[in-house]
Amino acid sequence: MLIASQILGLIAPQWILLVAAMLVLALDLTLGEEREGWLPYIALLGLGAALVASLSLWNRQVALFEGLFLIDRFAVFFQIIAVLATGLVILASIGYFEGKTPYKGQFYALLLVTALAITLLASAADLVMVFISIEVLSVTSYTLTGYLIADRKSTEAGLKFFLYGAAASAIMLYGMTLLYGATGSTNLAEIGRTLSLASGEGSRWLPIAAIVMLLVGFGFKVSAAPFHQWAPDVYEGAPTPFAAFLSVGSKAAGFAILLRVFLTALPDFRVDWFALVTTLSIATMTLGNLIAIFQENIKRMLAYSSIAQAGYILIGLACWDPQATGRESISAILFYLLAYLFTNLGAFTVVIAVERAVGTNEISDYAGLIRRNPWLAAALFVFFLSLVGIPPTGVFVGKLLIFAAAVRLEYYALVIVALINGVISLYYYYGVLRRVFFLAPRDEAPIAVSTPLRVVLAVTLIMTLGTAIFAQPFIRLALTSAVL
Amino acid sequence: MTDWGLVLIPAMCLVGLTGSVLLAVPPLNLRLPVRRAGWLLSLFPAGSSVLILSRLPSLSAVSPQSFKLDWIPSLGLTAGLYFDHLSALFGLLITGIGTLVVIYAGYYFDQSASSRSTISPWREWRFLAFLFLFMAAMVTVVMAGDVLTLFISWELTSVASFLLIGYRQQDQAARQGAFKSLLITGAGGVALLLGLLVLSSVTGSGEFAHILTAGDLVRSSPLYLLALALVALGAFTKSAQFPFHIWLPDAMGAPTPASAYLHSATMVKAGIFLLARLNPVLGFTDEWFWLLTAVGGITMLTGASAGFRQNDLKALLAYSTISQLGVLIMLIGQDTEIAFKALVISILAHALYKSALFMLVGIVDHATGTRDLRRLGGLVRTMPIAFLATGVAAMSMAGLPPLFGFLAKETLLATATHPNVPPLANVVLPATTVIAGALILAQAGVVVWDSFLGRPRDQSLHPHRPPAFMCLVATVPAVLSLTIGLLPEPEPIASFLANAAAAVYGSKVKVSLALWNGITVPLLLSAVAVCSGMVLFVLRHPLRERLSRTDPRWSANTLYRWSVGLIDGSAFVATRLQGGKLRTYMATVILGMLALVFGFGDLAQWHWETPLTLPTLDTTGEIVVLRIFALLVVVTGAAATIGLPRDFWAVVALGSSGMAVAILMVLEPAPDVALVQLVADILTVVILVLALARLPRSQRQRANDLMFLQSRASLVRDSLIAVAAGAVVALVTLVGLTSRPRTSAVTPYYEDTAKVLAGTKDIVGAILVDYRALDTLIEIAVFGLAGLGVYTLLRHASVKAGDHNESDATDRQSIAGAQDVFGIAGAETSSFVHALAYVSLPLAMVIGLVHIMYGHDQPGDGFTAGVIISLAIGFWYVVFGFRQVRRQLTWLRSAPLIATGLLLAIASGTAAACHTGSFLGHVDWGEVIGISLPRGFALSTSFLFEVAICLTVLGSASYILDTLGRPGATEHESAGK
Repeated sequence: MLIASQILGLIAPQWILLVAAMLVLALDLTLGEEREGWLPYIALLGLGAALVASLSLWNRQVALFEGLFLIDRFAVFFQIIAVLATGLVILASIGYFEGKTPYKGQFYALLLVTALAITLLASAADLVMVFISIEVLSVTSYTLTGYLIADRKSTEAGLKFFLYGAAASAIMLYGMTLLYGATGSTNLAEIGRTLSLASGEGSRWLPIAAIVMLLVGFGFKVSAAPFHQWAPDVYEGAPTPFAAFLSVGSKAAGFAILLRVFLTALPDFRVDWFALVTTLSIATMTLGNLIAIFQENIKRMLAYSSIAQAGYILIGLACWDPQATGRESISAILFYLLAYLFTNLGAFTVVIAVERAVGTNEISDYAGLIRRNPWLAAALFVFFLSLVGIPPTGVFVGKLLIFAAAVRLEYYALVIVALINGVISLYYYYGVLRRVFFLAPRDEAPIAVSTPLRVVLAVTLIMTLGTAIFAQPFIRLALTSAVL
Repeated sequence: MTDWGLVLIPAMCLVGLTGSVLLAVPPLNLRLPVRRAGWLLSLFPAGSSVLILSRLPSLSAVSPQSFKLDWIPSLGLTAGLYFDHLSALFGLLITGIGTLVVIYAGYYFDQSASSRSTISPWREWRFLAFLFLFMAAMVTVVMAGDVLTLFISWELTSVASFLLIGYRQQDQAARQGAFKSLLITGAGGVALLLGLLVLSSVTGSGEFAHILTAGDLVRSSPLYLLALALVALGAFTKSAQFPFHIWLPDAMGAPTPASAYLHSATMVKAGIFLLARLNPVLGFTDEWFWLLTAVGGITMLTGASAGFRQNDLKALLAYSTISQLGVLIMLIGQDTEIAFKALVISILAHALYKSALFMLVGIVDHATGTRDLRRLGGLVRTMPIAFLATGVAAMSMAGLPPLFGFLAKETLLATATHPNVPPLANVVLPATTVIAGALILAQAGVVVWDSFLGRPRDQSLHPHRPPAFMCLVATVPAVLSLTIGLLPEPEPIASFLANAAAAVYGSKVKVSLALWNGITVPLLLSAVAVCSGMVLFVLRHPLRERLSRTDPRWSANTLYRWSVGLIDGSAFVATRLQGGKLRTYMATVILGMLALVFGFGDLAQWHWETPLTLPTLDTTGEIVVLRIFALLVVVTGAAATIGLPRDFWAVVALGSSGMAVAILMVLEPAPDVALVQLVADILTVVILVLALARLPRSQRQRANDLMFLQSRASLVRDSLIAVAAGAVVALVTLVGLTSRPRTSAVTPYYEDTAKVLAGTKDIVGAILVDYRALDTLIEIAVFGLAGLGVYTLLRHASVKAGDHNESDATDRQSIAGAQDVFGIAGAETSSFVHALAYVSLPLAMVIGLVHIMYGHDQPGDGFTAGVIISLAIGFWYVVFGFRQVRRQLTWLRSAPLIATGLLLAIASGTAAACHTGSFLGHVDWGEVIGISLPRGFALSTSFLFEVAICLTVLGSASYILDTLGRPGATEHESAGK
């Protein structure tokens, strides 16, 4: 039996984030206009504290609150991801709301709550907890998407996101009740035990229907086809820093819970969900890459690109085999998510920098970026290389790890589809780079980049290359975290 | 063994890259003319060459030198180099020709700078930087010690090639050519990656040192064919084999130094290198022989015949390069000793004469401004040195003695007539080789004759004299191919080539470079080829005329266009699916779910033969009537919700359906669930009505019209989707009800422990506030957030819409000033309803209080209490309208209510934690302090928590009600009508 202070220590990342959010909210009301600039840094301080608290939990393996809440390395890994994503997004959004909305402080507070939601999700070990944390994440996401009240697109995106998300959540909740009905428990481990005892007898219909319905909800979070259609509209309308957050933080959270639920509660149904996940994976990457080709708005293009990336990551789940690849394929997913976090945040940061200078997100505005700011152009080049999966970049190593798992299981067809998709994706990334490097700019004025953005660019750039060149420590991190 | 010295070889090229970048930065770029920079930078590849040469004496023929650095040990991935005679041969070609090309490029751009008026100073430096990038990558390719190093550098050469082809950015054709080459070689690259992954998974290691010894293992593996196909695909795309050769002619948009270097001498040989390197592993099988011989042979013929009809000098050379690459591939496929002898000689010979020819064509191009054979002629007068050099190189290309090219052709013919060649091939091979040889000879003649001799066809050309050094640089490889041929018996070169061939073959190869071997079959065939080549050359004008008129409709380019078109087309179709309509998205989600349930639902395993035991209705007693009635209402209500043409009616119908569910729950009996269902349902209806009322009537009307006046087809479609979804869910539920375990695992546990642990008899209540207290705490926090969310979205939106009277200050005034009592949407309400409303609120509060106090043992809890009170308030909003409510219920402040609720929950939880050690643990504070309370009521943590829940729910609900009930500009408008 743990005493209260011990419990407080174990849930420290969560309450620190909560306190930080409340603090930012309170200070937003009291500080006044001229000192509003402090808020993001206070939020960052809170995140830093949460990070320290997370790291101190690295070697713990505890279940809290009657098995509702699990602290293990897997959870801590995603706590780190949440803190990193939120921190970088906060930095990238400093100055972004200038002239767009009078309410700047609340953005940071709400963002901290989303980080909290992700940490809760990563530790959720019970269907009820899963649902609640997903809802916390979703509700704050809807609000943050519609944050720019003066912007029609932002409001529309918020509303669409909400309605779509509500439907997806409802279906997922239905799936959860079916799973509960089939097993009589909401605890993931307990469900797994009951299902493995009962396997072979009775119909598999009920659990499979439940799996599909759960996939609707999780697929919505990771933006897997056919539950992806919200993403482009939402990315386009949402404030760009938050679109960046959705593409990495929210997606990572989706994968965290997908892995946790499927591997703890449903490992005995692997034969069934293998086919399901494979289908979704192929559909997701193909659709994402194909539609990305015709996009004229860079945020929409990145949305489709992030859909396609979800497809690649799903291969890792499809290749999970407790005997052959177990931890290997899971660690591949974790590594991919980490590398993708830096790469995609970096790409979005370039978008933010250009948007702040140009005012729009049209791809045609990227013409001649090399002459307007060579550093931005070079950074974008590296990030796109990484997104295509060309070495020496992080996502390349991620893809390599995932393909290695697939090759180990001899799922060559899946790898070939992914590789063909990689070639298709060259198409649209090249479309942007062609403008950046080869076309003449409409406006020769140099693009200035603010200091916080520079910091984000530097960090993401270094990490995009660093996760590849010094891949081993990161892979070891992913491997040790891949314990479910 | 880790030999750091090896790293120096590619590192030198990287230093060159750095140097070229540094030279691009002012002020260096202004001080130093490009010509000088070329000389300066050429020191680096020259240094690399020297490094390679210096290693040759110590390099043993059997054990290669290697360097290894762990990159990702857990995957067995290393960054390593592997250096044997094959690497040395290619390395020398790359760095040697690289040295010449860098010097040449200096002159080339110096000239182009003088001939053009505006030129940005750093552009030419960029070219050199790309060139060095390529050089470093290419050297790494041929020295790669493991699959990953190979793949990475391989892709880098593609990227560098792309950058160099697209170097003339304003040239549309160059850009398209660049993209084409990147697409084809890039795609081949990913195939190669997969092939290499398969290879290393079969052999268990990614290092060539290990893979190369595991040939038997690979050849006997079931994955052999897959690995072969993938690796070959990578090699064929890179080395421009049919049908992937189409990118190479289009790549001629690159500046000539790049064409000379990448697209004839080095990069296109990467595929050759790869297959040669992997020959000990993949070779020596029938599949290998037929695949390489067929593809190589076809490529050889295609290139030779297509080249013959070209008018552009560079295109002509490009096609002859393709032909030569086909020859090399074919040679690797033979797996005979003589073939590998021919291979190494041909590689060297081709690299020498082709790079010379390209550089000379570049000089011609610069001197005259054109490369079109129909305009050139008589250049011998202005550039005699270039003429001589071209003549020598072209003779080598034609395979005439005493040049090195002659030797290459002799050994090739010897291979083709080797007795080991299987039947059919032993006729086809010599024949095709002779035909191709004749065609190439004719082309070599065309290059020399039609551009340098005769009289200029276009009199408007005024060629200027090229710089002497530029010609000299171009002459070097031509002279080399002459001297190697003329030297009596160049022993060191022969043994070096023999070692390189042995590295490919796997055992010793004898190489002699003597031109004369007596009268042999190859020599006779060669004579046939020369004679027919002469004939072709003489007849070149009518033949070329005729050939260039044929329009190849069925070329590989059509295939390329088709595949690009296919991608475009499917992208177009896929984009159609994303129209931005939420309705389509919803349909996709539901259909997707249904498809997945059906597709993966394991229908086959479902025991169709044993009919499902349908649950029978308990027909005894009178309750059955109620049940059937409730079920009917549920279904009709749901159907009516969709079918009713007015939104308010639809909302009411939805409510009635939910209400009927509550009745079913009562009959079950599950009073707790029923109660929650009831209040939640009513609250939803109230909120929906309030929300609808906020919309202007015209807008609602339009939405209604859109909904019901649309095409019948889409209505039918939507109904079908809805029915299908309902049917599937019903089916799943049915199966679930009939097949799930009868006994619950958890119920007995709760029944046994509820009283002990939570001090209650009501299990549902206990679960909510005790067992799952943390869940509940987060849930109410979410609920609070949801209220905030609605408030933010709607309030801000309406502030934006221009309702300035919405600001709080003016709110208060308008509330104070409002005397008229109007209900929702400005409708008048009767006094009776007013009285009802006045009574309902206090009554609701009392009911709520009772729920909280006794809910712990009885049905009901804090949530229902909160909702019941909120309902009464909602009723007020409907009846009295926003202003009246705000004036009378001054205590109703959403934010403080939520805050108090959450704080109370946390405080009571913490207090309990201090007392029992468990957050929100069960403590009966009444007992602790020692006050007596009514029976059935306990001042416990649960009670405080219930109060907290109630407050939060109330606050959040009132947020929503307040926001929705607030009159907007919209309402004034509708009221005015």
